[in-house]
Amino acid sequence: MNNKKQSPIRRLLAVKGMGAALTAFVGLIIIYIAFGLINQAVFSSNNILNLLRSMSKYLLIGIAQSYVLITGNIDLSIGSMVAMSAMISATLMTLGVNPLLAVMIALLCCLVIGIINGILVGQFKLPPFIATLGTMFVGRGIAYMVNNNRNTDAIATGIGKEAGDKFQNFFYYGTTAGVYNTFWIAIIMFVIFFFLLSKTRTGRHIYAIGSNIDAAKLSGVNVVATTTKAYLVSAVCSWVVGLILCAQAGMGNMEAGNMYEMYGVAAGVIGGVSPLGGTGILLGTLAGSAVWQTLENGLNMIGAQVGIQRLVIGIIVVVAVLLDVVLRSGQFTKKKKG
Amino acid sequence: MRQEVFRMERVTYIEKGIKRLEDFNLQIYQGEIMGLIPINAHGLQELLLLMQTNMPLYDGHIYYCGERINSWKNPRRCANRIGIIDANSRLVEHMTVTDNIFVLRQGFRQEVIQNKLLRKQLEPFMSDIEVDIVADAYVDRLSAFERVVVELLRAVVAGYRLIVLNEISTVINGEELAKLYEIIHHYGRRGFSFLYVSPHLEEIMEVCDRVALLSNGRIQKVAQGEEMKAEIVEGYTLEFDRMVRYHMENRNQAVWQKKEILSFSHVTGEVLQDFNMKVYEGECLVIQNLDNQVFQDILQVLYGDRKVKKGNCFISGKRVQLPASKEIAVIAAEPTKTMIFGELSYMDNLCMGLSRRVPGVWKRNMRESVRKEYGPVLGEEVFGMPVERLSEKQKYQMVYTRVLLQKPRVVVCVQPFKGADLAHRVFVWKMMEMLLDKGMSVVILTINLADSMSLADRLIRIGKDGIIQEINREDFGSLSITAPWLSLYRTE
Repeated sequence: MNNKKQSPIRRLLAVKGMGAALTAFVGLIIIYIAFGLINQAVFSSNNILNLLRSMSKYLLIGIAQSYVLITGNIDLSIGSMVAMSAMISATLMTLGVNPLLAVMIALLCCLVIGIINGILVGQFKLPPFIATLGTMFVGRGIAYMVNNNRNTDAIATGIGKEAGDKFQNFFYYGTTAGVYNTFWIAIIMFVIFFFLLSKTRTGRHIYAIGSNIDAAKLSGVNVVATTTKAYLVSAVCSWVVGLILCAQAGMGNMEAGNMYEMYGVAAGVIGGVSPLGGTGILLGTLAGSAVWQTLENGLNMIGAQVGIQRLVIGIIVVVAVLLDVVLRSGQFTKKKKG
Repeated sequence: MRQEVFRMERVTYIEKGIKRLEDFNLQIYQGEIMGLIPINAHGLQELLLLMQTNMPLYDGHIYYCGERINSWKNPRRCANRIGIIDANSRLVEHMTVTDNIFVLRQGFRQEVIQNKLLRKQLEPFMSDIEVDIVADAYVDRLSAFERVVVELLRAVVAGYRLIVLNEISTVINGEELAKLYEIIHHYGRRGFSFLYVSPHLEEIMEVCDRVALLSNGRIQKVAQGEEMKAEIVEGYTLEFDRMVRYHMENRNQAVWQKKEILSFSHVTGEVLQDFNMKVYEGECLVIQNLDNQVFQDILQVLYGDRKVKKGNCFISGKRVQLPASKEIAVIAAEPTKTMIFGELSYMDNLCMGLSRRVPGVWKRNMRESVRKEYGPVLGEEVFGMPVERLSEKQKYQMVYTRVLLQKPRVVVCVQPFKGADLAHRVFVWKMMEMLLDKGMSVVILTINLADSMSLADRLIRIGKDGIIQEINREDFGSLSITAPWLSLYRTE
């Protein structure tokens, strides 16, 4: 069959991972409508705006983890990098350092962790779970040590109220075209990293090492550099989320980003990113993070307890991964034909 | 009357809607070494699967040691006591030889392991076959030959009456193969039966009592004795013979300069010591590894898993790193399994090597031009297919075209014929000839010479001490080994 004659929809559906992403989108719509029918407030514009804003954090974390998952690895240090970013930037700002310089220093620290992760996993072939478990503790330790094991004061105490407000508005409270800036930041980053993954050589190399690392090596893919790039993307996204959390609280919190690495895994796998590597698209991660946040939001709105919320989300994650494993092993196909 | 050990009677086996075996009949007698030549691989894996486990049959019956173990009427989903030995180890690594042979055996009841007793139990088996393997050695530290022997002993100790040896010549070298034949004959005399699967008639002739030809999931012919060599069996390899003869004539007429392209200077790995070698432009060099550890050593360096301790690799006098250099392409063994990116599209698979030369390869116009150029050769339909659904031939074609797109100066093929049936061996051979025609040098890394000799211009045999023997094309006829196509050189 000639590819040129295919309709755009068929071509879209032919993209690997698109099926899972669309399924997640359909699931999202069903969940949203179901919650809306139970509680009309779910459909209110205020709620939608809040939903978009809180979804943004999960989207960024999801992008971070998806990049690493597609290479067939995992990054457990995401949450710690979020805390590091929040604490370093907040501490510096409380000391009166220019906010731009403060966030750049935080970025540098996150990038160092990303490079270390990449080298440990790519160069020294440490199991990614162990390597990033180590850097997770290191990152969290740094977040604690930055301000002598205390949360920071309000950032406005150092840089002044005006600059503090500017910082908070830019990352969290301000709006552009009626939508919170947080959402726009996440969407811009989504577009950049979507392009990087789907349209560039680096993106193909990321998929290649997740699909067949030995063949990738023999095809000239620099596994160390590519793995490091994936961990660097993770570091950048974590850094931004740290700044968002810092802006949200107006201070640095040592416990910021706790468990975020797992939220990232959840957002990715719900959207069809395979934890076994090689498959998944960021559109799926977008859907996954939206499903996650809609569930949390909807369950909140209908008054479900936190325990119930966690339980439901947990089941959805397991089902998504189970589906991936079952589909890969072709068990559905066998049953049909047997 | 000879006692029958294994029989498949009118077996038809369907998998995913495709008839893998059709009206399949096979009989193996006690103490017999039965050969099996897959003319094409259709049904081979399924045959081995059915020998190991009793999958539901569409039709027919299977008997083993006088008992009906599987039937279309009432399938029993259980494993059979038939041993299979091939390139993939079925031993438990990080456990000792005695653990694998005795402790991990069904029916081993001892709670407290007495190593001394196990060592003693192993001794008569070892002296019987005149092999010396340390009983307490961890199996992951054994050589390939020792591993095969341990698997064989495990099957013997477990009381398996039928043992399948699948393409074992891709794992061990000629001398070890000769020793293995002695062991097989020894156990054959003791009443054990063997099914020896190999695409090479020469091997089958050397060790087997009878041979069966497998084609399209059926046994086409069973021959024995002199009949094996006769026109029926040879008929299947005639086309290949003709091709090789034509190629040899062309190579003899061709004149090429001995311009050095690739060289290894004093390369030292874990086992390999002070290795020097040169590859000339446009030549086909076969490197036969007589020591499996040396082979593994070379592979690790080649795949970039280990850096050389000492020495350098040069391309046209310029130092390069393996496998990062774009001037060298490596095609791993069984490329249809190892060199495929299952999750990526056909085009992405094809262009992976090209990305070494053209950074912007994922631009649409570049991809379109690749498609335009190679579409007529590869077939337009493959571009829309998921790579896992491609046929074996299409997969081979994809991997070799990927290398062609990369335009390296040297292509290293690791055991290129491993796992390929006769039809695919012809195709792989053609693909390598295509690379040679494009002016690339082809280096074939192999353990057993087999088909590689049909393309070779030069042969290097290496062991632990480096190069043991270097033979040019004109002297191939003097080689005192059994390998296909050598007869052609002898009659030149």
